Amino acid sequence: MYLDTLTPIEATVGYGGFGTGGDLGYEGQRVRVRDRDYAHAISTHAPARVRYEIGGRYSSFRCAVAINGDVPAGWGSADFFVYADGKLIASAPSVTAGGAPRELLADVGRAQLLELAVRTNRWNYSHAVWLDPQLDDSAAETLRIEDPLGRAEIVVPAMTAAERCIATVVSPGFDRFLDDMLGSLIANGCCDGARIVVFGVNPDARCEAVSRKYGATLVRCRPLVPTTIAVKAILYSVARVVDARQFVCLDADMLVTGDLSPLFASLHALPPQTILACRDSARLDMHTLADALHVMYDGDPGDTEQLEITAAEGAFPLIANDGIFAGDRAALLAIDTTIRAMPRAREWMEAKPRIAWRNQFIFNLALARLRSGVELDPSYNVQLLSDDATPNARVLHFNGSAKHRYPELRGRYARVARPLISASSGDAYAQFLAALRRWIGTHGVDALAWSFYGTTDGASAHVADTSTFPLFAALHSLIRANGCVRVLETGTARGVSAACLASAVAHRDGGRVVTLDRDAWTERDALWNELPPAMRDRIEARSIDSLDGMQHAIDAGEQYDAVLLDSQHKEEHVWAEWNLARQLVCRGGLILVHDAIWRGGTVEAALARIERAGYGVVRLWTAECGVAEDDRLGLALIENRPQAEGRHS
Amino acid sequence: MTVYLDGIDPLHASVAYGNLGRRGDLGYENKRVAVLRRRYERALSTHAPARVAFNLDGNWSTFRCHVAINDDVPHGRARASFSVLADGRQVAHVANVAAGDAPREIIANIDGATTLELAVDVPHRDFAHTVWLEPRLDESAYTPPQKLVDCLERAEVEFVPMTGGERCIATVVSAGFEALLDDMLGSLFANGGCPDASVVVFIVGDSPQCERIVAKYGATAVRCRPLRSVRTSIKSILYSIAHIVDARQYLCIDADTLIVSELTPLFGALDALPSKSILVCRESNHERFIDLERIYAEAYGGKTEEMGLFMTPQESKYRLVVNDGVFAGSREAMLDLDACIRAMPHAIRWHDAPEPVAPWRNQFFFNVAIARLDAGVPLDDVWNVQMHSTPIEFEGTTPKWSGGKPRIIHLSGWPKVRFPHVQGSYARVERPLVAPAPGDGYAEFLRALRGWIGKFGADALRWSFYGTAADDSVQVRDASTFPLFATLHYLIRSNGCIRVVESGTARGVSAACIASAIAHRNGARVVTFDPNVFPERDALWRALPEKMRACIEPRRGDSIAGMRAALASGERYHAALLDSVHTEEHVWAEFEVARQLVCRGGLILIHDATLPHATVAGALKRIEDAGYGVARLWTAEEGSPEDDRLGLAIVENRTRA
Repeated sequence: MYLDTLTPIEATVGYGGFGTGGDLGYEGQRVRVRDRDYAHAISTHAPARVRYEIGGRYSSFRCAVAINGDVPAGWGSADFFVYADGKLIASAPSVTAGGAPRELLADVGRAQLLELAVRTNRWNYSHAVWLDPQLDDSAAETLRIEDPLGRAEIVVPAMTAAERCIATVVSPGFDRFLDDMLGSLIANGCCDGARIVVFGVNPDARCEAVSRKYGATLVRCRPLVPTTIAVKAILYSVARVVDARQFVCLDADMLVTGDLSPLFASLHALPPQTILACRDSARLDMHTLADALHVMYDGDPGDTEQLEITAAEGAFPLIANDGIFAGDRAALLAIDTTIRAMPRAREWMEAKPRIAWRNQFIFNLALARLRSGVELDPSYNVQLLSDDATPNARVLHFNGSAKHRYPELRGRYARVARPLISASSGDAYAQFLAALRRWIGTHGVDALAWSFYGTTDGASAHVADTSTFPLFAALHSLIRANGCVRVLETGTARGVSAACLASAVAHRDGGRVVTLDRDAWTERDALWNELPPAMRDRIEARSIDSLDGMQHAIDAGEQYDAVLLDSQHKEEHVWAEWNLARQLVCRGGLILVHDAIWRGGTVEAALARIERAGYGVVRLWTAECGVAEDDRLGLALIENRPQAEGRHS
Repeated sequence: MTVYLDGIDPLHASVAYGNLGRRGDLGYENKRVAVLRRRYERALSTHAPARVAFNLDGNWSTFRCHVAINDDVPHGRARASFSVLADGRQVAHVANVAAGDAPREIIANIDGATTLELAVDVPHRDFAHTVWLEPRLDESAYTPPQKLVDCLERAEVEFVPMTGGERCIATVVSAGFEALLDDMLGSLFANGGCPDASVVVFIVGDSPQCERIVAKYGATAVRCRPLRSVRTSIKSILYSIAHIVDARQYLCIDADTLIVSELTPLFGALDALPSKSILVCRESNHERFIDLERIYAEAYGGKTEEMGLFMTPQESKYRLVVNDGVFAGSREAMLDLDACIRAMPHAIRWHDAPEPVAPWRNQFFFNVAIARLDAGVPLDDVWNVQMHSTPIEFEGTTPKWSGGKPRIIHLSGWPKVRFPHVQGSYARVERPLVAPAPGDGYAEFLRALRGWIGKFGADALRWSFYGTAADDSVQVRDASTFPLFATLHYLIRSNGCIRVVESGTARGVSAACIASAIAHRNGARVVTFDPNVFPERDALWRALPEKMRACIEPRRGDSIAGMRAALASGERYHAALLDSVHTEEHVWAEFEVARQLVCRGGLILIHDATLPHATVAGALKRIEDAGYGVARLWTAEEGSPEDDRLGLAIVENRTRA
């Protein structure tokens, strides 16, 4: 089924009309690329977005993309993307006028909606065209795919989407390497929250056990040819198997000795088509891809023609070792697509079985073809076959015959029976702080008046430590560590402490912050709008007097795990709030009272009554020595359990 | 007194070929050191890549020498970068020395250093015959220059005393651009997410208003005296920044920008990429200028017949043509940049042409340097969205751009005020957030902890806050932030503690956590008592940053006796954590001493407050009966518990009376 015969439900283009059937859609021209006319083509002058309802009837989509031939070579460029039900399934970045059409092949996966998008930051001459766009409705099994070099068949498992994925590939016999690699990754990689995926080629029980030990997702692969090092080509298809935004692919014969988070940071900083990889250190006399072809891959004179290597590609200066590489989803989809579009790559690779690592040359060629390779610092792939381990190494690669070097480093992680595996809930406090800083940037520090950082005169604020805002951090961690799910606050004011509380409960099912205030302060919504939606949505502001609001909550049967009292700072009011709070909060839960020692209020008298009622009261930030972080306001901490009971708990 | 370094035996020498050559010997092929046909009898020869280290015993102040590539190498066949490190810190760097070049001078401050390391890096080892000519150590005090002229001689820059720091964000400004600077700095502090970076503003000429704005943000002002009329080209001051500001990483941003998102990925990328890398965006956010040759003629008014004066044919085909409105690099990269531009013989003359076609020709030399050093790494366009060439709109306060989500908007070209409803929204804030930022010690603790757990397993946490009550095991429900340790850290940190005493060191996890909460304060100390030394302890402490590790003082012995001795010797603390023997009598006895050691109102924390089969509850009762308020954390009967029924009691060291 040619896609241009379907009517889109939406078509937005940057210029002219939406062209189908080979019509360019503007200036009376036809789609023509490299002197070839196309009867089936879609023309979408960038920026463009076209959406089709395809009703789950198709399994794959294929086409080629280009800039139309009416644009002089080099004058226009655009990035092409294909989405299925909102998930990016194929991309072709930096398609330039004059270049050969770039093949796209994507798994539609019985999606309901197919979207074609073209983006450019230069509108002129962005004559983007989709050539021979076809949907395949064959009953082909979409849950199995081959890697682009035909080494294995990958059984695609059901997986939820993730922000970051760290992937590797392993076959039987390498489980000890895998064990050390994953153990060192979790210990040193600083990639908390990343999904770990192990592609197991005919995995045995040991591979399965190691994957389980680290909570990794095991993706089963069936070898299509005898397994060699070239099976790493599976990782070139990682973005087609794992739904993540960023990927780092590591060989199993590596040890992670340093922080990998800069790799992910780099992917945020560099263009989306970027693939990060380290230079191959096997031979120092390789300065271009053409050098590498002959020096490392035993290339023949005819290879340039067989692999259609252009002069520019042959001169590409980054000769990469694919032991570690990183890229965005779009970049890795483009690698997969580009390798699949090399018709004779597999034949070339298999022509010399002695050079078992020829897959790596194809990977290099794809980097050159896409001009997407960016060199990583060599410390991210210290190749022990040719280099020695150094103290600043961040990833050690026991490649080739170096498998047995540095035996003292082996087993250090694998021998740990119980690594630290825990569901990651993220650092919501960091997100709160980022939102807070943005808000202060446009409202000033004085907007923190009457918050924990307010000054005793109520006119301003004093922040002694802007790195972590320890007063808010104390509130956050008290609530989070106490396991609170539902928290009540009186005195919303500008909403700062409510936002902080939300950051402490947002990761929990049912997390809720109910905050009571008669008045809605104008700056409040601006702060809450800066929070991530999942955090903001946890806040329920009620415009009501605190005592009335708390009584209504009791009447409605509401229960809380903690309360922060911070509305009116008078003895009678705090005492009244306290009496309601101890009914609302679970036994042993926390009741916090701010401005515990503020001289402008009479909270201290209320705290004295609470103590006389048999409750233990502890005043934070009231030590008579040390470095004051708050300005003589104080936070009282009360365990909602009379002392007589606490003794027996 | 002066001593030639080639007469001292090195601690260690690693050269790529031959031997370390001393006293004028090349160290291979039976050759001698000679540069520009002059022979040197005092020289070190280090075929690169090479590293040579010497023990100095802290006796010397200044290191002097010249560096070059030996005469036996044909002109232009090799290039090298020379570095001098004192106690591991780079104190001098000369980049891009080519075969045939005149020797380049190095004068480095090595005052008090105990080790001196000479390092040479090369793009290719062929013909890397690098030599250090007349290398000598001098006892006379190193005298730093008081002023520096930037690499294109646009201004004389005053040195100001400032601490280095890890990261530096810098800009340059002159009179007339105050409002832009105010918004740029305001948006940087609001959105940049780099509270720990030092912010430096180079002020060219007199501008009291610029000075006020710099003071408003607590930034460092560096005053510059213009040597030419002040134009766009004054930005060349930033090319020399590494000679003026001592930092590990630099981010230079034009003053006519708005920062609309976090800048941390740029610093992260500098950590990930080779140290020579300079991150920068394409000119005009597009590849219209396909190479340097094209932009030389079209944007900088260059004449074809003169092109050979400025760049080689290979450099003219360099495809990364950049805009210098935003660029970032490591110290090494920025030193290389400065050195490379200084070595361009015609740059200043061409820049000073009587009627320059393009007053921004500085940027051309920036481009040539990047090509020559092969240092350019293109940033995504969103990091420098250039208004002179690309349209951008705002929906409310959110910028919209076809090329992606802008992170830095560059108000390049004219007019400078294009978004009146957005511009000024930072400048009008009278008191931005600029207080000191001592860093995130808790994140550093967690990093060390994770690495340690990786080697010892999660069970190494038993008998810490994450131990379990029922058996000798461990349970961590939230490994993202370890909320129990976070509570300990922030109770200590927010309570302003400087000195903390702990009983029950065990594997040292809570001592490390406490250290991370106080290490940023002068006089920080964690004194921790235990009669036993657990073998895993030192491995954890060694993984901490030095400043954190240094404030932990383990004392071996019984906690009560140790605390009494501390009391007797007049020691005082701001908080105590009692976590040794969990019996009523022991805890009560510890508390009796702790309340005297800890200042009034300070915190006394007691772990395992609710541990089954222990009798800590009895001690807490006695504490309550003695008139102290006690609150037990982690004992709520609802919610989603993080600890396993151990409990942490907090006592305010002040009786109710």
